[in-house]
Amino acid sequence: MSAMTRQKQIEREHWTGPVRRYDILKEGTIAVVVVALLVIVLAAIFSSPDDPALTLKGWAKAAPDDMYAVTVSELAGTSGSATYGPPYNTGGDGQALGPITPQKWMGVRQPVDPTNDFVVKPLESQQQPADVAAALTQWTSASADQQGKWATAYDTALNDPNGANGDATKVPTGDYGPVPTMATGLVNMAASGALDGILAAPGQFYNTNATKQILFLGDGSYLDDAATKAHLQGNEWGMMNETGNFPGQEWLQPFSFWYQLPIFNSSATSGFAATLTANADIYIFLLIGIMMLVLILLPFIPGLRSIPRWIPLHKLVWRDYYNRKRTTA
Amino acid sequence: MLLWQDEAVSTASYLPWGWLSISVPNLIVILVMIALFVLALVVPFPKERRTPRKHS
Repeated sequence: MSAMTRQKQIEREHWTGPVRRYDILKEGTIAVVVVALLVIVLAAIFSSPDDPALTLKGWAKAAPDDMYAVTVSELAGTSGSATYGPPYNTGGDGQALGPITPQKWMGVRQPVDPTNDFVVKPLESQQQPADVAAALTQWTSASADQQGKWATAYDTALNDPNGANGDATKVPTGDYGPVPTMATGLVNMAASGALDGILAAPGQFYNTNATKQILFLGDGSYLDDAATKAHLQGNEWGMMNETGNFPGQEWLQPFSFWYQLPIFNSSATSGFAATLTANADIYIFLLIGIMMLVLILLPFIPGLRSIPRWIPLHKLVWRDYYNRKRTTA
Repeated sequence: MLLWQDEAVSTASYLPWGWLSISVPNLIVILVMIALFVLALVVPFPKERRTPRKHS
């Protein structure tokens, strides 16, 4: 008789061992009531872990120079958002695992045009000081080629490590068109608090789409520094952590673990480590997929399926049964 | 280092241990989970009030 046939036969046989009454509804009700009470009591004692959201106003006030430089990079098309690629734009290819490029395959599904969405449209949406209004008119009247020349020239001059190095007051004179005035106008608008509402899905009654604020914030160092301070960066187990003095998501440890490996945190600019770091998400997604498959197929994997025989924890749980079995044997 | 003028970023205490870094609240929850697991292994099942019956 094959093992499979014997297994099926066992499954059809009546259980002849001891039985006991078990009320699953009673146990379920008790569990729900106990957990609900625990949630209410613990929430009353410890409150919520939610910190106030970072805002563009806070960014403009705390780090105006950073926001200014980011605004210029949005106009020049050199920011992280502008070069991200799908699903926001075609500025990059997204992550790839060899020939597998899911971001590219899915295409641009949430169009974000950083130049217009983060800078030009917000400035146009409100009454601006005369100089900013004139700069806007000069920008919108110019050709795309001219816009690119102005913005790229100023972006390069502003970020020149041997020149201005991020300090707008040290940028040498040049043909930058309306770019500096527009950047100043946007920082002033953000400092007043007006930009936060405008980037939040304008025209919709319920503003639940924060994509643009997060992308814009993410292009600067304000959000990044806040994440570092709160231990929320991916390479410092941030996936497991929570803001404030609260426990986070420990169950994400098997995922977070991979991001701590130097091979996925390399500062190399070329080679295997650079490829893995640039495409860490998709590679780790693959590794997690393999781990899940191993877990699902555990009963069929020789060696791994024998672990319960080597470490018989179940015999500790069902020790009454095994004691009885040993006694009667 | 930036200053957060109107947006406080609060954080827990962290225990760095080589490449591993864990927050104290996370550590407490993990220890409680391990304690519950050990308890589930060693605490005896409630005893049956009625005499066990057997299927024919």
